[in-house]
Amino acid sequence: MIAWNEEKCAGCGICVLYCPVDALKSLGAIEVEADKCNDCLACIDACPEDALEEGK
Amino acid sequence: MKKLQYDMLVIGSGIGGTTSASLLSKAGYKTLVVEKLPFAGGRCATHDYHGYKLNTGLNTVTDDCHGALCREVGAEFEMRVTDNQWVYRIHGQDYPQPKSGKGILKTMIGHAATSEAEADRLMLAIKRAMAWAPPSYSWSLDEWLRQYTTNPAILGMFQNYLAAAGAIRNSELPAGEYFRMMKEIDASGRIWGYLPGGGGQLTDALVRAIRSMGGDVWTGCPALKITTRDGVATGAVVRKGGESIEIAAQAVICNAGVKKTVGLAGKDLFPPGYLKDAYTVKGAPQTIIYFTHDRPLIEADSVICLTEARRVFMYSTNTNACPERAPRGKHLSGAAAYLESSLPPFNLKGEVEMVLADLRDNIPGFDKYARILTIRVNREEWGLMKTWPGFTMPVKTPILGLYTVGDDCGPPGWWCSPAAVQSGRRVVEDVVHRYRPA
Repeated sequence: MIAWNEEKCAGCGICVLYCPVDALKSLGAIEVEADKCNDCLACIDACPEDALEEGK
Repeated sequence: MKKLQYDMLVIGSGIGGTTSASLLSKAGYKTLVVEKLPFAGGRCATHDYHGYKLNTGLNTVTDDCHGALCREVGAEFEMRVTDNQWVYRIHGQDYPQPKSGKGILKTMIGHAATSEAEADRLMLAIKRAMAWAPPSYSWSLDEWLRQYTTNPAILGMFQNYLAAAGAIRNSELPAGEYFRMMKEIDASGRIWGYLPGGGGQLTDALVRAIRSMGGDVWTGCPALKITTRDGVATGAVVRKGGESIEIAAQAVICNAGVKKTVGLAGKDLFPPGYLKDAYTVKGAPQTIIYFTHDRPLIEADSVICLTEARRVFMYSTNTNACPERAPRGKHLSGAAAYLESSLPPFNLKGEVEMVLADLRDNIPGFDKYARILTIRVNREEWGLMKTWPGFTMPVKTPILGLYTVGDDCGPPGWWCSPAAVQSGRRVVEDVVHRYRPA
């Protein structure tokens, strides 16, 4: 499961575009759909601001 | 550690970085561009999202600025100029903006003014500021305008224009910078158009040109550190495919924003005065919403400009000019909005609610027929600009051989992507006088 850090996020929305299973949504805040996320971490690699991390 | 030698090292592949690298390659400098993201372009990239081509930032270009650069470095450039009708919604009524000729501003102020005397008073003040004495930078455009009018429709028209041009509020822009921009505007080009496949076509074409001239562009390759010796930049350590590589270069040109540049070189190398200015730089935020629909929702070829809405200042259907940007039969539209303030913290939820309320109020059938693709509150480093207009940094840093480029380092009066192009041009002009290709 991916955790989103609002303070670090700059709102670029690149994580949403790089998610291969469509688990992320950008609606102002970044929302992660837990049942879709397969922990591939593509969003973490693509985030320019280190605003996403592996949550518990 | 593996070591490589280049004449010039560019960190970041946004417009400032690719402008610099393409002009340097053309001038014969062996140039390397490193980009930490998996794609080139930064805020000038286009991504496919379920068949829709969404821009990370840049939407429109001019032939005089972007086209001239591409021709100079041998990059493809195909600008689609449309016959868009800009429509200002004032007091609930739509007024088309005259497409050309003198007196556009006068005509539009006339629509919003409550009397001819009010319009004349403001126009005279604008003329005097342009032709005789502009106001200083120590007070805002809002304060300057309110000397002549408090009419919300007129203030809204200026707010609409500033939001589109620089993502800033009337109350945040130094009045002097507004008139500086109005004077410089012709140099950036007045005729704007679209790149058919999205804004990212610009940096994609520049990257191809850099490579075709013998330069290298590495994506997914973060710079870990800018290296220096005795206050002189010597290159950088970068990470490529799990390996650290030391790049030696005569000069380093950083397109990562001034604060990140300081971080990469080491804060203790910079004098406090420079750091004070660098940390004053703050991104100009903007909310961008992309939505799709099966039937037309916005008048064809119109750009609707709202002057009295809560947040949204502009919306249009991108696929009218560029049907390539959506799957067949689908429309792609975009709306842009300012925020309550350009200073954090931002209330993301509240901002988005206001944007949606504006779209519902202004676009009949929005709730029923529009499907939202993304809503982004672009802010900080990913704002419309990396700095508020009027608060730019010089391209030269206190470290010899370390330059910064981007829209946060443009000349006074230059905003957005033309500012980034111009920062790159200025750096290259300086480089050719100081360094020789090996």
